[in-house]
Amino acid sequence: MKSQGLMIAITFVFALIIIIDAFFAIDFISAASTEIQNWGTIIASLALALAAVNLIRIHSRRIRLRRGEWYNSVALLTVMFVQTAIGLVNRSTGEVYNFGFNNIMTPLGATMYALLAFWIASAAYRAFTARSIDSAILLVAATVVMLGNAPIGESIWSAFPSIKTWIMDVPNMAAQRGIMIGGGIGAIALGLRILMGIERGHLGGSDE
Amino acid sequence: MKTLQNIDRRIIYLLVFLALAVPMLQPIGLPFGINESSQKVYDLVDALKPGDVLVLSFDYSPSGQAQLDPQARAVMKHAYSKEGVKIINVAFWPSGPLFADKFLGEMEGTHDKVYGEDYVSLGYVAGAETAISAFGKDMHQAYPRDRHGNSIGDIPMMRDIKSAADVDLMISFGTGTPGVPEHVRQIVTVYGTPFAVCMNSVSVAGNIPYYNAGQMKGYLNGLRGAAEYEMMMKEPGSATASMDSLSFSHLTVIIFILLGNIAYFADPDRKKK
Repeated sequence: MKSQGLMIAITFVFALIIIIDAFFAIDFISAASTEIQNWGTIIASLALALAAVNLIRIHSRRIRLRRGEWYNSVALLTVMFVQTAIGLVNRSTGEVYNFGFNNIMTPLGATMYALLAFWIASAAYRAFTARSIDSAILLVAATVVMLGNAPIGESIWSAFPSIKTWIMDVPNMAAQRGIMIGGGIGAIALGLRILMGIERGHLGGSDE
Repeated sequence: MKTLQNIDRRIIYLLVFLALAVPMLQPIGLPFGINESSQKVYDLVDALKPGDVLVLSFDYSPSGQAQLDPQARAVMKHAYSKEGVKIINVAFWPSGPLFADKFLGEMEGTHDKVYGEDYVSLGYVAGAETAISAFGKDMHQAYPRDRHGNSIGDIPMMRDIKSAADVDLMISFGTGTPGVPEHVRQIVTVYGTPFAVCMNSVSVAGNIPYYNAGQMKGYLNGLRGAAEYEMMMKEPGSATASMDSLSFSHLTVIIFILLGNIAYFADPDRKKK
């Protein structure tokens, strides 16, 4: 419990420095704030390494126990080790490293995303029906936005782009702003709870 | 009507594939206008004067490259053609620097900019929003070395560029988090740096409030935005060539939505369900 108190005190002091720096131009506070933020980027780099260690642990265990589709774990770990080794020897600016990225990682990532086009078409046909007033509004809005965004929409009716712009700028933006403001207020409340030591989930303990 | 209610998904996949592939092989060249938001991005880059500093932030992964690559290619080509403009390439996504390297490789020999004097690649720094904040506050501390291992203090063009306050325009090529909200919070709000975004279509609805509030000066909307940029540069490229595919794939989805609804309303048992 003592360590939790210390963590809360450190969080409070560090957060206070960042907050003061955002509102006032005080040289030593600004220097401290810069330093804290640079520590943040270093900690984030270490977190990436920790994530890699965690990934190796989970997938090694899966391979050892021959759990379902364990061969996918073998593929993952093989690619991970090979690409890391290439990066360490050849650096991430090297030709071999870039060859792997441009010819394996990029086409695979793009293919996964592109498959959405097929699933969306199939899902839209099965599920996108005007079962209620709400879903009918959603359906009409989505259709108009799609037509407004594609050149064929302009060719069918020149007003589609204007209607699309209105949908995006008025009802969509009103809703998005509401979500953003709500989220912002929520973030302030959460920040205050963390600062006051009321919220302790990030310390690995309960709220009590 | 039974057939309409149960179209095999493989038929749908095949028709979507044809809607995408046929226009690629036999382009029609449907005309399209230039959106105001795209025109603004072009005007911002075009208005850069000798000595101005432009930051290009590559914040996307391979899954977004179909829409973001043509945008980045077009914007970079335009930016690197601007005489005397200093360009800083950064990334807050791990794969970002590899995209920057790819485009710089493609453009080799097409511009007269010299590495270190006119442009620099700083690479990736972890930490998402914290990293963006650290970069905006003090680039030299956030990136002590560039992507090639040179000390940032030894790079001639970086001597007078310290923070986001020294930047005349920042453009983010982004598909997610960290992305537009993080850049707006840590760069635009704090330093007032003019900011434009090149994003995938699905991100537009969520980020449009930043555009209407003036925090985002312009944006490119997916592949359509890239095609518009290519047309403004009078150099039609891969995005322009893909516009017919975009049109017909959208149309196919809409036709299937219509068919789904016809089948739903024609079903006599729908009220019982």
